[in-house]
Amino acid sequence: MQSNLIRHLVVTDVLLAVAIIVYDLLALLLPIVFLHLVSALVVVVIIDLAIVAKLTLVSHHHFGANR
Amino acid sequence: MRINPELKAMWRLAFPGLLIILVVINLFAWLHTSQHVTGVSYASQVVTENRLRHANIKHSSVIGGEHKHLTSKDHVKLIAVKKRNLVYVVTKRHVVYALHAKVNLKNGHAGVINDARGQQNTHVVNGKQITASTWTSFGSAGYIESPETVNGQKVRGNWLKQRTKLTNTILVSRPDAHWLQKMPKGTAIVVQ
Repeated sequence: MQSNLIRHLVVTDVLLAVAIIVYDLLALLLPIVFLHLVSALVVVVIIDLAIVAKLTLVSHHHFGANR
Repeated sequence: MRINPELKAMWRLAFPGLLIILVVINLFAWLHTSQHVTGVSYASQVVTENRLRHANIKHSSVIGGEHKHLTSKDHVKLIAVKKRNLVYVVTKRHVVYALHAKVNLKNGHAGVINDARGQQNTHVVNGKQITASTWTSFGSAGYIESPETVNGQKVRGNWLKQRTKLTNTILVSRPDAHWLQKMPKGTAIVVQ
C-alpha cells in the first residue's frame, strides 16, 4: 500500500514539476512572479502533504497492490 | 489508456492546489508594490526581473546577454535601488533592463551621465587598493564601473557579496559596464 502511494506521489510530483517549468517559461514573457527552485520545492511539498492528508486520512483511499 | 482512480484523485487535488498557490503568490506580490520602483509600470518591472540571471562579474545580468543600443531619443533613465542591488534601465515608463549592481550612493542621490568614459580606474579605500575597469562618469565624481581587483586579488563570481564599500560608485558586471558606457550623455541616474 505504502509503495503504491509513493509511486503515485512521484508521478504527480513529476507532472507538477513540468507544470512549474511551463509556468516559469511563461514568466519570461508575462508579468507573473518567477518561482525559484527553493520556492518551487516548497510548493510541491505543501501539495504532497495536502494529498497525503486528504487521500489517506480523510477519504481513506486504498492504495493496494492490485490497484 | 485507463488511469488509476487514486492517481486521478491525486491530480484533482494537486493541479487546482498548484493553481490556487500560484494565484495567491501573484496576488501577494502585486499587493506588496512598496518593494517596486515608483513611477514605472509594474508589468515591465516584473518581466525584466524574471529575465535576470545569477550575478556573475563575467556575465551580463540579462538572459541571452544581448542589450539593445539606446539613444537620447529613448529618454533613458537609470533607477538604482540600493536595497535590492539592482539598477533599472527605464525608457519613458517602461523598464527595459534590470541589472545587478552594488549601489554605493546615498538614497535620493541624483545625477546625470557625463561625457568622460575610460578603461582603468584605481581607488584607495581604508588602505585597500581597488582597481576597476570600463568606467562611465556621472554626477560629480561618481562612477559606474566593474570591479577588477581588491588588494591585488582578482574579483570573481558574485561581486555583490564584496564587503569593501567604494563610495560614489555603482559596481556592475563587465559586460553590463561595457554596455552602460554606450549610454548617451545626460542620462539621468536616480537612487531610490
